[in-house]
Amino acid sequence: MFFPFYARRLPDSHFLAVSRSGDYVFLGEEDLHKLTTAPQELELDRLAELQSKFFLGSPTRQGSLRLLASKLLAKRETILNGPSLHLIVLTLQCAHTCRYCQVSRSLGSLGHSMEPATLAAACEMIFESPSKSITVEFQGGDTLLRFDLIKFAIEKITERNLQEKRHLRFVVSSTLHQLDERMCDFFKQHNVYLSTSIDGPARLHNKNRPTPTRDSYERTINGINMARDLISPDVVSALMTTTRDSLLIPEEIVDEYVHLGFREIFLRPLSVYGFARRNFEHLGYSLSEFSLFYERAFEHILQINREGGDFREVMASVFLNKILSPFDGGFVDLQSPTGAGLAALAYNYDGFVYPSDEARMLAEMGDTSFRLGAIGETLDALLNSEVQQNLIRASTSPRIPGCDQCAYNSYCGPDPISAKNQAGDIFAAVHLTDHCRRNMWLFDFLFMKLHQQEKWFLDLAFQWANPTPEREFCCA
Amino acid sequence: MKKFIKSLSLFIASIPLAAAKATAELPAGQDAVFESQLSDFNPVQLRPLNHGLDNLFAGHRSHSSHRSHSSHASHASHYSGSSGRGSYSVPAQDTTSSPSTTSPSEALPAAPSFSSEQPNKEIVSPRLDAPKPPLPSSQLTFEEKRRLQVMRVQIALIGLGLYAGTVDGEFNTDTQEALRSFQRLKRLPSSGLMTTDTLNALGIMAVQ
Amino acid sequence: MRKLPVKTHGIPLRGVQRVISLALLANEWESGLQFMVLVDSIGDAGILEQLVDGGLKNIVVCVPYHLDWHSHIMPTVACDTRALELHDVVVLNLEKQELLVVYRNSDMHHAIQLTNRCNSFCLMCSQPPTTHDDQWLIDEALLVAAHINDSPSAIGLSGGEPLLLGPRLREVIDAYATRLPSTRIEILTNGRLLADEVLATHLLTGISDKVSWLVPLYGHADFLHDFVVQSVGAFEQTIGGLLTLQSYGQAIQLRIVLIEPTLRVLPELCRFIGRNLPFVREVALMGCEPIGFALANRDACKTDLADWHAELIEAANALRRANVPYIFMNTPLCALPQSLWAHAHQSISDWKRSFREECSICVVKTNCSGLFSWHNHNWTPTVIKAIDGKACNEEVH
Repeated sequence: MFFPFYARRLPDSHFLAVSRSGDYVFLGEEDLHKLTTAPQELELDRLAELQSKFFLGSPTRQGSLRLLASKLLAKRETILNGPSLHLIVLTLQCAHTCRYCQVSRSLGSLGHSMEPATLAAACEMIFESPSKSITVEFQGGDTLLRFDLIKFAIEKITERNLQEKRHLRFVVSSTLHQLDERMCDFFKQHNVYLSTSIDGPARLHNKNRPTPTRDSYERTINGINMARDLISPDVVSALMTTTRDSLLIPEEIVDEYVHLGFREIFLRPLSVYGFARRNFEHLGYSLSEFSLFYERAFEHILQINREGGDFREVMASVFLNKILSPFDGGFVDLQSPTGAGLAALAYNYDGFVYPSDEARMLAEMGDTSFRLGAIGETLDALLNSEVQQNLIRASTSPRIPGCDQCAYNSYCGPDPISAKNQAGDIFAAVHLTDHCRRNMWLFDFLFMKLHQQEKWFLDLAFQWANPTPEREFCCA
Repeated sequence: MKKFIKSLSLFIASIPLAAAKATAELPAGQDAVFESQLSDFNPVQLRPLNHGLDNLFAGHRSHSSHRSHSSHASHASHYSGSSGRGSYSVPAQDTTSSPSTTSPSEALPAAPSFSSEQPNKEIVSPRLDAPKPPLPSSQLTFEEKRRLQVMRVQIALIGLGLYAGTVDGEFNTDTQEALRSFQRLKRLPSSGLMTTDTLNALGIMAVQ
Repeated sequence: MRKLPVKTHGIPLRGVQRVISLALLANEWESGLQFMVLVDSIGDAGILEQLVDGGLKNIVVCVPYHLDWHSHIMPTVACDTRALELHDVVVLNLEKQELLVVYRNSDMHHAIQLTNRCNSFCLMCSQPPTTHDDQWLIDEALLVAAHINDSPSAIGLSGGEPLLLGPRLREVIDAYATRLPSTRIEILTNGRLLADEVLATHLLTGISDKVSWLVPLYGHADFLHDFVVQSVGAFEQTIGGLLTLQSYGQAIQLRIVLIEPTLRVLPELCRFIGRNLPFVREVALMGCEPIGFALANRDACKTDLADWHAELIEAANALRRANVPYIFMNTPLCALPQSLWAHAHQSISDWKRSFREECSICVVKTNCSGLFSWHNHNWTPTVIKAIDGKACNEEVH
């Protein structure tokens, strides 16, 4: 008998089918028909392939069914093991007035930082999660403006972890403008990673991210250099946001990252929260505009790799991980049910806990409907809250109209928070959301690449897809 | 003797149809049925385990080159999903601490696994009785150890022509006398006792 | 297995013996073991006779043929003693007047056979199974463990199918783990019976962490694997067994014998392993031994690996992409594409490895597995040819 699976005709008109185990196969219409009506008529090699990819099975095949159950568990690891990503929003203060920023407030603004007592409670709450791996990420505003709070929290969490013995990691998200030697010493001592923003070449970066002194780019570069010198060469990673001005210079943006010594870039589309929403006509663009930008940048990155460079695109890596690896890379936005809340929590300066960074941004815009509860409540109460239960209901893809018949539903899941932002309802028709349309496009794009079976690309795709450190072996 | 079915298609044709019949009870392709089927199974963690056996096949890696790789995994937490900034990637559970990426210098030159070849190509008639293997000497009682020690000394002394009695583990006067003769030959204090120096000279390690 | 003709005198029963010298006897003697003492003089033989006279029941004397030695009380083995090494563990077969060396310290590979019975019937089985009760082999294996005098880096427990021992397999494993504390214990099994939870629990709970499991997999769908092992249902049981081993944190080496039915599907099989069994420590891709059932199934089993280089490379790519380490065994280098040489192992035991005349001028001979000594000119893994330095360099640079 055949197991549930969904097929899709790719833009290049080939048929793709994906089984519930996430295994995929390209096949002709005739085989597709046989698969559901008379599998015994399939050629033996095809039959074996479809069986081994869990398109066909039988209740008597006990070993295979246990394997399938194990595979499904591996795919859900991220949302089953308890929240492992803990965002602490320390302050909204920031010297920048970024055009797409969601939330930040000026330096002088009071009342937009977390109270130490609240922060202390958040640090304790993190350990309620059963997850063996915990990442604590400090968010702003510009976090280094409140280094005192970062230091307080890291010391507190580190001390508690002497007993807890979780696999702990800290990330500080910042412009790095205020970074100094004292901070570097502290970060080195506590194994802290730094995450910053680089939108591209200086003129683009400074245009997107204005400061009164018009030198945001230069000061961030100085911060990166200092961190690399004083902490470690790999300590900084950078993120970019694609704006309208980016669209024409994809190669330049990629080259900027290569030039700055980064080994990867995350070509992120603009998300329409916060000020970005108001500035959409200046900043925004359609999916087809973004996809042209992305494809050009992607080809450029492939060329860099072809020439022997080691440079990856992160969004493609996340999607390829879903497609090619048995192990989930842990990307919160691509889970079903959603990773918001189940895999990640945001402890906001306002004393409330939100299921994601976007949710706290919506709160900043006046929509506080995603509050799970207050910092200091139990994790159990938060995860059993009606808000969280609704998020789960709205994002369990096999039961969501639009997702239930989608070939990519083994890899993907709805994002109820962006649906609320876009359409005002977490249960908004999934296939109309930006999240869905963008993901469909990228899955299609990558599958067409995979279908070409170019050996060199497949090698690269598997490398990018791998969330675990590579086991050692020599190159064949 | 059982016969081989030498072609794959004949083999498939010979498979009993019991399996096929069982499937008839279940409508194909339905999610609910599918899920309920799987709930009976005890799933297994598919990730490679790190349980201190990392050098198990280390010898096989001895000529492999260590490929240092992009630090993608360790930086996984730095990425944001779609928001202004922030991290949207949950770290993979317990894999970053994986010690399984042993570098070649750490890899022990262990012997490779053996091949499919079979030992005992011809096993012949069984023995009638099956003597039980003895306990390792570490599991003997103190008395048993001492007795074993004396027997070994007696064997050595017979080998040297200094003792002609029985090998019985009794530290009797004949044995002690033979030990004294040996000690005199080796210019050791002739105590007649099993001193460490005496055992060393006899080439016998103390029974542990 | 090394075999030696012998002439025995005064030895009542088949038994396991440790080969030893007179000089070492005093230090190693234990009442529960059997010792076969090598002597080459009448004088030393006389000392042994004296020991027997003094009450030692567990020694036999082993003399070279040329030594004119006779004794009424001394059990004696006469043979070509140069073929024996100290601390060999041997079994004397009285009916055939043969001595089998079942364990030798200086060998690179050690294997102990636990049964001749098997629940599969593989097309290329190098040692066709028998059906009679051979429980005595278990007792013998326990005795062999006691007679081994060092702790080699690894020892294999093989069959037949070791899991047919049922709970007694654990007894054997424990005996080897206790006796040989620093030895890796490698169990060659088809894994099928581990799908049985009761047996698996008994065998695996609290098992020594020195144990690893060497399990064959010949297809990515049941009918492919079941055809090769000629047993319907085997694939599902083996997959279940592999999952059970993983759930107990056991180390696994998957083994694929390279014959026509497996080579044909090798890339897809390796992709299956990468997607579904990524926890295995290693995949061993193994040349077929031209012996046993392989001779009866020549059509399926006799292949020239040179015809399958594309499949071998694609399979290796699939495993590399999935981060699953792999090695080639029993494959001479001239049978493999050069890009895979780094993965080839000298896997054939010293005593059964041989080379051809052609090999004498080969520049990579020292890294080569060679051939099984029972490979004959009608059946080699490929057309054996010397690799010359020029060709080798060209491909490397």
